[in-house]
Amino acid sequence: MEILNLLNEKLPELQEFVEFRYCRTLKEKNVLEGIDVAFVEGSVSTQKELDRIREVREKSKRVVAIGGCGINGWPSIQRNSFEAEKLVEFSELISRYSQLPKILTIPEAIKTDRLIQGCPIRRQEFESVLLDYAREFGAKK
Amino acid sequence: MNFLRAFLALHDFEFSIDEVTKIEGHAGLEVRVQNNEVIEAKLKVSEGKRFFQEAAIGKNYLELPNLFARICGTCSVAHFSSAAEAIERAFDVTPSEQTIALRKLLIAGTILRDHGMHLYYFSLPDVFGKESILDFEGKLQKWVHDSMHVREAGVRLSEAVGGRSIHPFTATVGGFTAIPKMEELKACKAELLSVRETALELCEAFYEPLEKFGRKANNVALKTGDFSFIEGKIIDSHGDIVEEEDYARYLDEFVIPYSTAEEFEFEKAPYAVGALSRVNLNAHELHPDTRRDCAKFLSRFPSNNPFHNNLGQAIEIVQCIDLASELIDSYEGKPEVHPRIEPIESRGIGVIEAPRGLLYYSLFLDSNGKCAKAQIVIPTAQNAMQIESDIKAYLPDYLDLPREKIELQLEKIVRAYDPCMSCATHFLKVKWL
Repeated sequence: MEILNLLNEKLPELQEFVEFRYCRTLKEKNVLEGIDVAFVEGSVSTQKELDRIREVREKSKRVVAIGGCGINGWPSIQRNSFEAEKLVEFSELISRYSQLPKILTIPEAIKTDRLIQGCPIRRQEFESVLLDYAREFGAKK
Repeated sequence: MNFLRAFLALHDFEFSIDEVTKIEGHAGLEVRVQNNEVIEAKLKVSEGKRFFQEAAIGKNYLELPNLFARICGTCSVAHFSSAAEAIERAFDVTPSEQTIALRKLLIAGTILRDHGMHLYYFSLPDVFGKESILDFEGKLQKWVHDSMHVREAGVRLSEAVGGRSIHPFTATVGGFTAIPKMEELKACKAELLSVRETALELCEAFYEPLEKFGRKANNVALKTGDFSFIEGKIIDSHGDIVEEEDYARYLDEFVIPYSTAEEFEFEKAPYAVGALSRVNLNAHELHPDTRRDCAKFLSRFPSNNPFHNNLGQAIEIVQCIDLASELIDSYEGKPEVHPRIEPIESRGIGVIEAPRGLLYYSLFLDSNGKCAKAQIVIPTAQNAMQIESDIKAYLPDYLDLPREKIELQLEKIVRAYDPCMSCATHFLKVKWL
């Protein structure tokens, strides 16, 4: 949401040096190939999500985990601290949703290059990380 | 990218769209057609369950609204407000008039931001036949700038009242811990008014519906008296009314069974919530300035075309600008008086109009103020059955089109409802992808 808020201010400016390759919220045709920098959010709850985040790692030169869900696992990670009896009570749900034995944060699931903390994140910090990488990849002086 | 799998020949086939694009969160769709009849249409959630209702148990009432706000970044203010209202009703706490006015301002900010996202980013590309707003060039660039200004006016209002754009931290059960400065709100009003003309142009863009399609649907919405999204009675197209004291019975006997049922299990017809339902039922309660300047657009209502949800949302942006301006004019900036809160064993029900429709919170609290049980019914869970029923009526006209086009048409009608799958993750009973 804070990224969309950043777009409120700076979309045309960003479009000069950023190509949005994969962003289902904004586009119909998305390509998970040849990614310089992936910004990923959300915790990892299922094997499918684990495979997906590994794929993102494999196909991206840099991976930045963003937000409270991605970095600290909240709120999904509350499940890890459920008492044993609560877990037994929800075991059927946990298996129906094919959840992992333990909810993982993104840094637990894959190697990350940078983290942008916060719920919500601060758009200024996101912008400064984006500009750092734009310079690193020669898209911006 | 969407993967389309087709079996057999056209008119007798099944396919699934794994990921509907340009909606909030991740959803799939499964459709089965036999002899030109759509025999099954299922909206599916493709996000993981996060056990919110379960995790709430044992937590103190003061923590709950902020915890529930994390259900969804987009409509966090709606979750916060409905949960806070439920707790206040459980403990018989009446917030001050100023508190209610500030909450209305928070919601108004959310509507600008959230409807703004849906209309500009998700739906306008369909109007102009583009894949994405990122592809808007030349003359269309105007809409990119408009989207920024409208959404930004909402963000500023949320920041002034809530302390930041989402997950407000000044709001709490019973009142606000900090209130906005008068000059901040005046600046917000100026910014809101500066995008009013832009919002009217957005109405014009959605005046003609994306598709001509009609069906009879029962609209359900909150009637607040001032079209302010909080507090009031629940009404529907048949003229049935649910007063505040009957919320619990209505929720237990109707809303919860309905929102968790499969279509064939539920004998009553589906119903729709959201901007279209609100404008269909409550257009006469819109701000007089909104009614005056949206007279042409309002002539489309009541409407049976779900694609008019877009126009309804655009009108609501104008409404929120006018309502917020008026609330700011009468704001006095008095210190908040926090009502004394004494926990008792009780159940409270919060009902508000979230951007996408009615949002229910039913919280059972104990005498220590801890949560014993939480039930949440989100708008998309109520609309799911209506969306599926609409697809059955809508799709037969498009069966001669190539598969990709059918898929596009399907995405359009799902998108018209502006479903929020981040929320639906927890509360929609669906087939799993």
